[in-house]
Amino acid sequence: MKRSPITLAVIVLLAGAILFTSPLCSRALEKAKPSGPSLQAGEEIPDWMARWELARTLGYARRYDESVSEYRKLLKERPDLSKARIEMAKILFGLNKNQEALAALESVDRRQLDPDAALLMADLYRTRKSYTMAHPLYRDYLNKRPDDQSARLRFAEMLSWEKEYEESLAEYRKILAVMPDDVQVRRKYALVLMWSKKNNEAAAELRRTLK
Amino acid sequence: MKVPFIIIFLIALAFATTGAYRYVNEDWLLYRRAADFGRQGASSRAIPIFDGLAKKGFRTRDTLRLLGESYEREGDIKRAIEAFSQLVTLYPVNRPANFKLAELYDKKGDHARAADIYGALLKAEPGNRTIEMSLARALAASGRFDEAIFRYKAILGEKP
Repeated sequence: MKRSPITLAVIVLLAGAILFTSPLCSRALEKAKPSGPSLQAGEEIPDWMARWELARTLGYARRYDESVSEYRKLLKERPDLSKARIEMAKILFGLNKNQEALAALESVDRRQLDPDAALLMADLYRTRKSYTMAHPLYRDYLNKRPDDQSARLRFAEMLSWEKEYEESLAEYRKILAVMPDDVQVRRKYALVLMWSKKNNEAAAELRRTLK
Repeated sequence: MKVPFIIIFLIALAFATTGAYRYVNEDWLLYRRAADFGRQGASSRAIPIFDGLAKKGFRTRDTLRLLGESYEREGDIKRAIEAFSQLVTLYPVNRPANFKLAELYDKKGDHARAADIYGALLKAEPGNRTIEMSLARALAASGRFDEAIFRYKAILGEKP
């Protein structure tokens, strides 16, 4: 088959162009490539997750009532979210809605309570004078965080109100071992010594606070 | 000889030439070796190779991306940011690279800068939930709570 000189020239030029440029193609294409695939449309982010973050952010912004409202909506949809329930309880506590806070915490499996939530629950029971409920919570918490002297003091006070004087005094001694110069704690300790009829020891402790 | 045959032959030849070039060219060999290091988790060995290739301008986009990712895996967020910043300077409309850069700023704790990038990305892709969530999180993390709340409500389709 005969070809015109023009056809042959086109074929030769085409061949030359392809052979010459092929190793450079990758670089050229790299520049010419579009901007890459669009970012995922975000279907993997469910509404409940956005609502949870909204509830948290409202809490950070101190818009507590709105935050609780969002937590309630979230928990209606996902009642299994114990962590969200605990967060809501903390905000309710901040709003001085102790009964609601306690109710929220009581609906959470104890094993899922973080130390802060367990302490909050213990404090709420203490405020409600449900000392027998608070007792194991304080004990567990202090096993996990033995250096929290503020929580230990609340526990020691509660034990003294329960007339568990020896147990209370033991807790006071632990606090005073760490904070021997704390006058207020020592006076409370002296008071419990008096209640347990150890008047001489109480007097000695009180004298130490007057030095 | 028919013209279609010649064209097919030339195309095949072009592919063969490209393939051969990639298997013989030193930069390509280095690139593949570094990529293998990256896949094997040996990012510290991949970094100097990718760095050298990026400086030579070899496959800049992929090399810089892989360099940045290697630095990130090594925990060197500052250098990872440098690599991705260079990448988005060269390819400003590369959205995944911009998104990655914002994530790195978030990781570094510079949430305000991350929020700026997410905001720009969201303008290019309005309604993209991934970007909206990232923006809301960055705003919340940088203490701009009201703006974050506005974003979260927009994601949920609620009135701000």
